[in-house]
Amino acid sequence: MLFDAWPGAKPTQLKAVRMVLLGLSVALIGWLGYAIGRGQSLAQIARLYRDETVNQYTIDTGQLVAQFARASGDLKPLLSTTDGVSLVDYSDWDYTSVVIVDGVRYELVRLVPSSSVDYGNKRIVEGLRSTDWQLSREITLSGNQATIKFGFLADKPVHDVRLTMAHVDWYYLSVSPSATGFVATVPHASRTEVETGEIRTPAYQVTVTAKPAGSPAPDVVTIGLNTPYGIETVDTQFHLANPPVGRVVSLGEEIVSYRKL
Amino acid sequence: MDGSPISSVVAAPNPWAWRLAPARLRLLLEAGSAALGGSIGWSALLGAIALRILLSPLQHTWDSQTWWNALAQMGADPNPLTAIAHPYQSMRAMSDLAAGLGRELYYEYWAYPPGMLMLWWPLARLWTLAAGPMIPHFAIPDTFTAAPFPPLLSFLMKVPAIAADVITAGLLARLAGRTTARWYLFNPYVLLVCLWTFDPVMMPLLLGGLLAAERGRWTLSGMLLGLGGAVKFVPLLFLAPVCLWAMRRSRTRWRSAVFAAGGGAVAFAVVCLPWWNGVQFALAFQAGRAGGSMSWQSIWNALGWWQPLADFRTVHLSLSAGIGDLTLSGALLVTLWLTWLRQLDLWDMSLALMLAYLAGSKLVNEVYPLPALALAAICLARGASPARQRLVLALWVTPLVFALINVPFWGFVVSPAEALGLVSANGAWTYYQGYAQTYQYLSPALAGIGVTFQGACVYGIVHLVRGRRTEAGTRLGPVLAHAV
Repeated sequence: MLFDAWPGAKPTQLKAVRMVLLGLSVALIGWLGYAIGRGQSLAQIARLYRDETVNQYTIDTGQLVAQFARASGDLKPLLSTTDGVSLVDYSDWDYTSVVIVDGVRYELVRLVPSSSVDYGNKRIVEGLRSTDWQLSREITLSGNQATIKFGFLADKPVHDVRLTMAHVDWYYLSVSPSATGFVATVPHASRTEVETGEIRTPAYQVTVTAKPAGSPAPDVVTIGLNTPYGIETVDTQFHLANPPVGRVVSLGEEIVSYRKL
Repeated sequence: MDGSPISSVVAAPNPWAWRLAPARLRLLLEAGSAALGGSIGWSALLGAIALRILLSPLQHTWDSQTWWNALAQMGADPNPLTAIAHPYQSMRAMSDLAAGLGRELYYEYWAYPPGMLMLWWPLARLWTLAAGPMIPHFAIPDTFTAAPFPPLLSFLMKVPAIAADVITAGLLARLAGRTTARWYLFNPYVLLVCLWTFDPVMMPLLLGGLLAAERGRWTLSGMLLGLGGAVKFVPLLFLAPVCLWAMRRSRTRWRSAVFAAGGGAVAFAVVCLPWWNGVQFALAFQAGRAGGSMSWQSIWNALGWWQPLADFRTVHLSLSAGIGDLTLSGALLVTLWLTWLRQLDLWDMSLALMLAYLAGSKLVNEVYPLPALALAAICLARGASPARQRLVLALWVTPLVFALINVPFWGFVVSPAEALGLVSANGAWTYYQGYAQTYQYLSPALAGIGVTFQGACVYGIVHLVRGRRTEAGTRLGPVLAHAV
């Protein structure tokens, strides 16, 4: 008999012992069923489909929207207002978006991208990989403000890194560069409306504050492509010397905010 | 000597040491000496402490970065509530970065409950105020790194672990005898764990919890295990055998089991709730990380050595966590079922469950077997057999050898060497690159040690389940027949 040899065991105790045994057995059988099902679901276990079909991440604070394209060269990210006005597009397509590492020039769009999103913390991180180093770009939204951090990770010793980042819009109506960034105005208009001269009224003022981590470049901010309809590109530059190996080192960060005019 | 019962049990009281102390303090100290030094021997105790102080500057490579950054971040914040949240927040941010860079899904940083942070925060704060701010540095995953720990800070941060080792030895002296306690204090593997991490801090709470359960103090048992779980998650596992033991041995079985489980849940919640988001993320990290090290999943690493399977890295990363969930839950459930069926006593049941955890877990780092070693030593002292001796031997020799190759052994001196200016971070990194070239050839050896360790765990479970029971019982066949 089961547990008969247990000295002093009362019938009620034996009943409890059997109930626990039954409970454990049910749990075990349940686990076996679960394990078989789980084992069969190889795709789920493998999680090989993770983010495979997601081309774009969008995070939104209710005041500011960031759209991030995982695979293309623009929208890295595109920051816009909730009524759809583009404020800044961090574009890797732009020919001025480059990183020069120990004298060798790399266009950002030609580097190998990787990315992740943390919707809870409204944070997107991108990596741009070369053979021996990697650039990181971390975008965090808070209220009507976006913080873009640029980092550099060396896999082996590197001596000099210079990053030029293009800020693109269809047309900035005006741009006022300063030693720490620039202030620009943008219209609430389509590209055609600007080019035909139908709308030339600024709707929003964008402020980009650049904070280089190392010694500031001589020209932190430079105006890029300037057209009859407005300025299309503003560049910021960051410099880093002798970054340690195996650690993401800050090149600098930019804070983007806006106000309605 | 005042002739009180407590002072009378002191083996060799020092007649002048406490002369000036108040009577109550003297009683307390004498009780302490009876609990620790009286049963272990003061010379052994002081020798063990001195040895640990001597070894305290040594640090594990990557983990030293974790301890340093946690201390640095907490030390900068005078508010303990927000200070303890910093390591969790940083782990989340660094995980986003690591995933964004395509390196790992999670960044290995503070992946533990907040109990140890609570103990360390005052030290971090004092050190920051006295020596200036500590600057955190985060190396990217899979990079060789070591934080330059000043020897004094390294010692101070290990004081809780050293004290815990002494208390654990005191408990072992009561549970398994003086010889076992001394053996534990001077065991090389136990010394390694003490200089490496804070796992020793959970040990007195774990053993105390089981001891309380043995004495029928169910709520206290649950609370001690819950507090242990607030230091590292592992002691929470032992709520299961405690509850089962309560069901079997307590007169008010359901009530006792509920009290034990409730005490554990309340104690764990009280410590962890203020930082629950962080604890949740730490649990997600533990569930999602890839397996390896000394677990059966160490074979993944060895597979890469054979050219046709060299590309298994991706499969490993994809499948490891999913398979690990199944093997861990399965091993725990099957072992609980068997131990209940075979009526093992509390200590055998706890040891079997710990071995099942080590056998089923996807990841078994070198320090994980510490609770199993202490429990096996207790079980050996209470019922010696060659099989148990072999188990105890395997539980400390294999992780020790594994660590000396895997860390590797010289890695423990990098941190103090950096702090003393004997080696630069770049110099250590360069040296490691050379070692990494040979490391690939050591992978099969490490996998072999891992498989040996796993074999020992399974062997231990089988031995326990087939062996001694609480009372003379039945054979498996009739039991199953009756259960059906």
